[in-house]
Formats: sequence, structure tokens, C-alpha cells
Amino acid sequence: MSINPGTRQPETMKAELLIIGAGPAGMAAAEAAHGLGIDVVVVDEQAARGGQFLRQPPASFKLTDWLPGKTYSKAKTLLARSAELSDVKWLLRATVAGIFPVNNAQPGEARFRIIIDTQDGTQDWQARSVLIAGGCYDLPVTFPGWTIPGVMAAGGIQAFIKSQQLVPGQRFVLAGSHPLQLVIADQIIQAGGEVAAVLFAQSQSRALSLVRQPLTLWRHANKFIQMASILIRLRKAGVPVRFNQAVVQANGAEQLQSVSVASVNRQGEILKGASEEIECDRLGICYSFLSSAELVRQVNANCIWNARRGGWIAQHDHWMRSSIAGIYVAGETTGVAGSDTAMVEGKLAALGCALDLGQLQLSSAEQQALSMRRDLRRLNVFAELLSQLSWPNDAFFDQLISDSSIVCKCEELSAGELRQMLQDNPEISTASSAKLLSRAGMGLCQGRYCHHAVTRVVAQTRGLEEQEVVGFTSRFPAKPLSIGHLTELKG
Amino acid sequence: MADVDVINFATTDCASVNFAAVKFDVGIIGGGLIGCATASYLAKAGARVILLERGQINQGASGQNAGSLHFQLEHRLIQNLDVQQRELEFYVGLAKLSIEDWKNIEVDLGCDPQLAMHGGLMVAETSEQTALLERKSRIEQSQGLSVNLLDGTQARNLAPYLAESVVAALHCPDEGHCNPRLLTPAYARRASACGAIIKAGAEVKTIERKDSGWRVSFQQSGSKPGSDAATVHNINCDMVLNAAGAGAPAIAVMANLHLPLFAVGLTMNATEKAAPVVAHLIQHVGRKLSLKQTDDGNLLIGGGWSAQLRQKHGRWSADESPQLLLDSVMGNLRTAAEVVPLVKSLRLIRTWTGTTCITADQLPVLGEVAQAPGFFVAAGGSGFTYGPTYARLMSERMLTGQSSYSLEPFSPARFGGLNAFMA
Amino acid sequence: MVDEREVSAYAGETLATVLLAQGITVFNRTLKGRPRGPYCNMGGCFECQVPMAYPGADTFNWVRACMVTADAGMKIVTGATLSAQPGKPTTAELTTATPGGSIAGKRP
Repeated sequence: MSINPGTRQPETMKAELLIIGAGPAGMAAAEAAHGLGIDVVVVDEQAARGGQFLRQPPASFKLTDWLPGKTYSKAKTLLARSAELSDVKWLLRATVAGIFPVNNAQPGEARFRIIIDTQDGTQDWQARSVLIAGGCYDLPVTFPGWTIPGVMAAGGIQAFIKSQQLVPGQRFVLAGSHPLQLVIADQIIQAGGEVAAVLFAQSQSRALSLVRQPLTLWRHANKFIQMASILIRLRKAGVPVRFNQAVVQANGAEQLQSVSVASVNRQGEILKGASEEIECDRLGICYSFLSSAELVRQVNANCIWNARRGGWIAQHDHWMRSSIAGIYVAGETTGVAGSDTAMVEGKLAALGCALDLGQLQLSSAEQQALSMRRDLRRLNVFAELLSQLSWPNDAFFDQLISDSSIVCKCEELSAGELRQMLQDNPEISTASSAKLLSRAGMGLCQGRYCHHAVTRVVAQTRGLEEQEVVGFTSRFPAKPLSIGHLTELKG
Repeated sequence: MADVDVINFATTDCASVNFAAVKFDVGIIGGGLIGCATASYLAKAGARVILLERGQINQGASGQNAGSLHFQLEHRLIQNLDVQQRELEFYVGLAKLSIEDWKNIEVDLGCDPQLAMHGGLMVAETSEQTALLERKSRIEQSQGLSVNLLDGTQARNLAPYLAESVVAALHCPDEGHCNPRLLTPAYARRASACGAIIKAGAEVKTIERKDSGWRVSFQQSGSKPGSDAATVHNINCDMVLNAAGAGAPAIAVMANLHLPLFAVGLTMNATEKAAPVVAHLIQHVGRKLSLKQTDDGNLLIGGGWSAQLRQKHGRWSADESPQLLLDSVMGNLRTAAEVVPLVKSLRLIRTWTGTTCITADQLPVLGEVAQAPGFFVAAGGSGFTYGPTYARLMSERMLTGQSSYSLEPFSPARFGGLNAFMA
Repeated sequence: MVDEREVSAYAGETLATVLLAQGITVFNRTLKGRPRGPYCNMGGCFECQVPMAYPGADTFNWVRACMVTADAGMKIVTGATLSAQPGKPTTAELTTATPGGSIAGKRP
């Protein structure tokens, strides 16, 4: 049941648990919380439930075989079940702009005021508890030419196929370090597209090192079988899968024409000298992911920075509580770990919330949580291993950020200009102060697509650790918000 | 050890410098606009200067304010016209000086801090507000500030983007804006180039009288006790300038002085970029509003809407960023949309809060504390618009004992009674 | 309608899909004139913005093409320069924007 935002009355904009994100974590939490009798509202910016993992096609598309394969089956059944949750309100095409704590909230009253922007206007919601499960996005990687039309996040290409049933180009190159790019290459081929190459920055033995862990192999056999089938299909289709190679430049004036590829040695050093050119009209970048932590940081919940595990990682306890009472976190928000982990964390967060709302006895909650936590331990081992084999190393990206590359695409600031500013102002040593002077991070994407690169440039230039440098302040609005809408909000 | 005049320190390395061996003329505490600009003027005149900033240069109000150059009397200053006429006249006199200082700033700094002085309009929407504009314009004109009252039609001829509800506007042709993110770092670079030592990440720990001057000790900010970084450095200086903005009272405490400056949390909003439409600085005589369009195209909307200061141990904490209040954002944007309707077609992309400081009489504190010879204060009161002027006058005062424009009405002596009992 | 040409789309497609299927990759231009097109396809990067007017309306607003579902009668401009006149791209931009070459997208 979807709510038409235009007809909802202000007095009814209340929830016991407001879930941000209708992906695997959000859906799992909604289902569990609903089952425990909690009044749930789920908000998502996309037009349909499922998050990025599922990227549902429009209802008007009639598809017989959407997202085949075991990887998606659990989430697909969850998606189907979530459609049956009659009392859960799904607020879609709705963006959470801010979460504001209510001062002196009495027991039983709303603790948070949540400002949500929809196509028809801004809404002012109240909730006793909030679960932030906003997912993650492809790590933007800065290199010369990365802003040329045709260069895309690999996940973006995948979403065109999964959701829109469109192969968004003719000849694709995929480059990065994450095995997901093999999945995407396979999806492109199966949809009738052409893949010129799949390039991994790391060595083959490192990329496939999980195979050498027998216990992991045993426990996650499905994933390996799937990967093996993909590799077979790619070979059959004549798609070169190469290792120790990285795209160092995208070429083309108005549109991507080719990419320049260089070799990478075992230490992760990109070798200078002749690079090879591969003609293509689409490049999918697939190194890693960043968690969408803007709302978590807006409420000042504790986070730690770990680039390899998703950048800003929300800290939580064994009930998925963040450091702010009443705010829970689940899914990639707590560290990029995949949809299976997200679904378990969502369920656990719902338990934690129910416990805190007094809807559940501790003993009952503990009992249910036992197996969930066991699953999480196992899943996190895999996620950690996967992130290790798919992450080049922190400083790898520095080599791609040439002076000519655009480090802040919104403000069109080049890395060279940023470095010059740092040289002229030796007292600047944080990303935040660099932002102030260079304008990096002051555009519409609000720093999502440059904060990692800016952090790398400042860290490298100053000889500091990322943790000492990192951090653009996160404030309302979490996404650009129409002032016309905001000023029409009642109250 | 190299000659102090030519050393330019990198962010972290203090270890190789023997600070105690040098006698500085002035030790400046606070790396905001007033601190860096004063350092620049002093160093240019040949003084030996060291500036200590506990965070990053321009991290405080100097870098967070709206960047307005408001030479006419602001909304907050005219709440007590009857009582404060003399002080306000003096303040307006300062405005005239400031206009000249700003006109020279590019030459002075050797760079363009995105200065625009295309005029300001303080609007009125009611007849009472128009009367206020008339009253204050008489004070302003008496001091020779160029202002002229326009009716609604004239205002819209000049500024077609103003709403129909505007019935009058006081036009001040020299008002405008400058980019606060560029200005202070430019002064810091200038000061360094003239031989001043600019030290960020340096937290002042003690301030004591020593011989006929002062001794200031500092430590690397956030250093762990017992580590190398936690080494305490001492500097000796003839004079100390407390230019620590919202942190100034705490610095004064180290010198055993009361300094009645009070922290205030304020809110700012920035829209996405738009084609150049708003050429003027817009203010309102009866409502809280300041609005301008920067060189880059964003509209900056502020005007004194409060942000919630955080508290620590029952006291206001000037250390953390104040909490954003949604009601302030809404109120501010509504006011802006009513006066400049095009604002509604734009997206809000950024808000931020900052902490500035004010005195009870709304005027700045500028001068030497009589009970503590050699201890100077420069803080409060339109620190951005008048910052370069305060800095220039303070540097004159510190070097020669006098300033070319009297700072007497702003002297700490007006609070002298508070420090009469401090040892 | 894209740049004054009528274009057909499958019901439910996003504007980004419609444009890519038409072979258009330059969705807008930056203030420095650089061409930009979709990058993240999930509403975060703002690279895919186009001015769009709802059916029957003549006010254009910048929207993320990847987040808006195509509707009959919608008008889109491609290649417009970012931060044009608030609320409305200039007439010059409406007439000079031209769509790209051959259709690049494939439907399975």
C-alpha cells in the first residue's frame, strides 16, 4: 500500500518506527517490526521498493525472468512478502532531508522530527524511533576524463539493465577491483551488449584468493558456483578478463571514445610508460562502495572512517542501536557487507527497537537475536575477506588523481588547483578546511562524489593518515531541497 | 636556528624552533580575520609577530559568516536608537573609513577576495519600518555616509527581483559583499610573506605578565599528554592581542581578566548556483534577513537567525558548532522568499552554523585593557565588515600608541569596572 | 518532447533511459562548457540533470533524469548549461540544444 503524499494529513504523519531505505535492510526491518506490532513507515527516494540491490523495474514492464539466480532469491522473496505488509506505509519517491531531535520528549512521545521532501511538497514527520538503512553507492574514482559522458559507475550501468531493461551503450569496458564487475559484465552480455574487457587492478591470485579458503568456500558455495558460471560465460563470449590493469584515463571530447589502460605491479604501483587504448563508448568503474552516511553524521551519531569498508561506518551495539538513543542503523550503513548481512541487521534492529519501545521482553528478544548474531558473525567474516581482496590499497587511488583530473566535478576544481591551494596555504590540513578555501564539496552532490578524493589529496600532500584529515560536516538538507517546497510546509 | 623573520612554519613542526630565544613584539591569539589582518599590518610595518590559532585558520566565525559588507546601521543596532545615538554616530564614522579600506583591499592583499561593492538595499514592508529607515538615515547622513531613501517603485527599478511588498528601501551604494573563505587566508599568507609566524593547531595554555611584557605558553592542539607533541612552548612578547572571537573571554580568563563578550550561535543557508540576478546586498530594517548572490552564483541567506549553542558542564561551549534549528532555517527562508520571490525556485543545498560574539551594547571591544598594560583586545561587533579597519587601527595603536581614528568609544575601559577587582 | 522533437518512451521508463535510448549522452553542460551525462543512475551525483517542464506547463525545473519517470507531454532540454535563469533555461539554450547521433541503446 503506497501513500499518495498529497492526501496525507499533517496529524497522521507519525510513526513509531520510521525506516529510511526500502532496500534489503529496510524491508527486513519493516517486516520484523510489523510482526511485532510496531507502527512502521518506510521512506525511499526511489520509485519502488528493493533498494539498489533489487532496482525493481517499473510496474508497467512485464517481465518473465527478472534477476534470475540464487543471489537475488532471498531478497526477491522478501520483496514479495513486503508487498503483503498491509499496515506498513511505504513513502516512495520521498527523500529524507533531515532528522531533528525533539527537545524534552516525554516517554511515549516522538523523539524525532523528520523532514521529507516529495514531488508534491515537503512533509514534517514525527517518529519515536528511526532506523537509518540508506545503503551505499559506488565509490567515485577520480582520474583524467572521469566526467566525460559515457563514464559511469558500474552499479549505474547495472541498474539500467536490472531496472530499465536497457543496455545503455554499445561497447563496454569495466574497470576496478571488485568482483561485482564480473557479474555486471555477465548481465551486459546476457542482455545483448558487448564487453570489450574487464580489468582488475589487483593480481589474479589476489582477486581469486577466497578460493584458497576452504571453509569460506564451503560456507559460501553458492557464490563460488555463481562466479564460476559467470567466468565460463564470459570466456565463451570472448570477453577478456585481465588482471594487474587499470584505466588511467578516459578519452573523448563530447562522449567517451576510448580508455587508456596501464599495468599495475604487485605492490599496487601503476607503471608509467606506454598504455594501451581500448575503444569503447561506456566505461563502468567498479572499485568499491561508500556508505550513504549523511543522515547518520547529520545527527552526530558516532562513526569511524574506514575507506575499505565503505568510508563512514556507523558504530552500533549488539541491538543495532547507534550512539544516539532512538536511532538505529542497519545494512551498508554499518559497513559494506552485502544484502544477506543487511537483511539480518534489519531484523536485529527491529528487535532492538521493539525492545526499547517495550513491545518485547528481553528474554524473548535475546532468544531470537542469538541466531541472528551468529549469522552476522559468519557473514561479516566473508564481507571482510571480500573487501580485502577487492580493495587495491588506500594510496592506490592517489596515482589516478593526476593534476589534470577534476576532483570536484560540481565546482569543476582540478586536482592540480587543489594541490596548488594546499601549497599556498600550508596551514590547511583537513578536508573540511580545504573545502572552505577550494569550494570542493560545495556543489549539488554535497561532496558525495569528491570527499574521498579530497581526503586522499590532502592526506597525501600533508603526509597524514586519512583519519586525521577526513570529514566534511554533514548538515540539513541531506539532499538539495526545493525552497518553494520547504517554505510551504505548515508549522 | 634560522632568523625568525624568514621562517615560515609548516603545520606540525615546532620542535626545531627555540621560541624562548626570541622576543616578539606582538603575540596574537586567534587566527580569524582580525588576528590575521592585524598580523599582516604589523608585520608589514616591521614588527615581529607570532599568531597562535588552536584550530585551522579561518575556522571560526570569520570563515562562516555571510560575507556581508553592511555599512549602514543594521537591524540589530537600531533597537535602541534613543539611548545609543552617540555610539552609533561613531560607528557610522568607522563605516566611512571601512569603505575606503575595502576599496583598497585587492591592492593591499595582492589578490582578489571576490569583492563586490555594487550597493546595498535595506528594505521596509510597512510604514513603521519606513519611518525607522528615515530615522537611521539621518544618523548615517550626519556622519557623511552616502545613503538615499527609495520608494517601492524606485527600489524595484534598481532591483527588479524585489517583491511587491517592499514599500521603501535605503540604498547605500558602497555596500556589498566579499568572500569570507578567501579573505582571512589571504591575510594570513600576506602576514607570512612579511615575516609573521602563523601557527595553526596551537592551543594557548597560559598567559602571564613577565618583566614588562607577557609570556604565552602553547601546546599542539589535541596532543596526548606525555607525547612529544604535547611539549609546551613559551613565547615572550611585549604585547598580546586577544583576537579569539567567541573564544576571547576564555583567553582573557588566562590573563585574569573579565571580558564581557557573549557567544551567539547563528545560521546560514546557501542555495544552488543561479544565473546572476541579485546584484545588491539585501537587508531588512524590521525583520531578520540578509541576502546576497556570490560571484559563484549561490544565494547566501542569513540575517541573524539563531542556532542553538551547545552546553558543557552548565556553560556555553564555544568549542563545538551550534546545533541547527529547523525553525530558524524555515523562518529565514520564508522571510527571504517574501522579499525576493525567485528564491522559491531554487534548491537549498547547504546550511551551516557558526559562533560569533557580541557585547551587551552591540559594539566591538577594541583597545588596551588598562589594568593589564600591553594586553589588547579586538573582538565583537561586525567583525567581518569592519575587520580590515579594526586590524589597521589596532596595529597603529599597538605600534605607535595611537590610532588614526579614535577607538575610544569601543575601548575595554567601558567595562573597566569589571576588572577593577582583578589582581 | 526532447529538444523540440517528439520522442516515444516505454511507460515507466526514466528520462535518463529515454535519452540514452535515443543516443543522447550529453545531458547538460557545466558553467565551463563541459559536457556531462549520467554517472551513478541512482540520484546521488546530479550529473544527469536536465530542465524539464511538466505536461501543459512552461516552467522548466532542473530534475535528475535518472529519478524522474517519463510522462506523455513532458518537455526536456538536453545540453543546457547548468544554473541558467532560475526556473527557466534561456530561449537560446532551448533552440541550440541538439540531440546526438544514432540510437545506442539495445532492448533485450
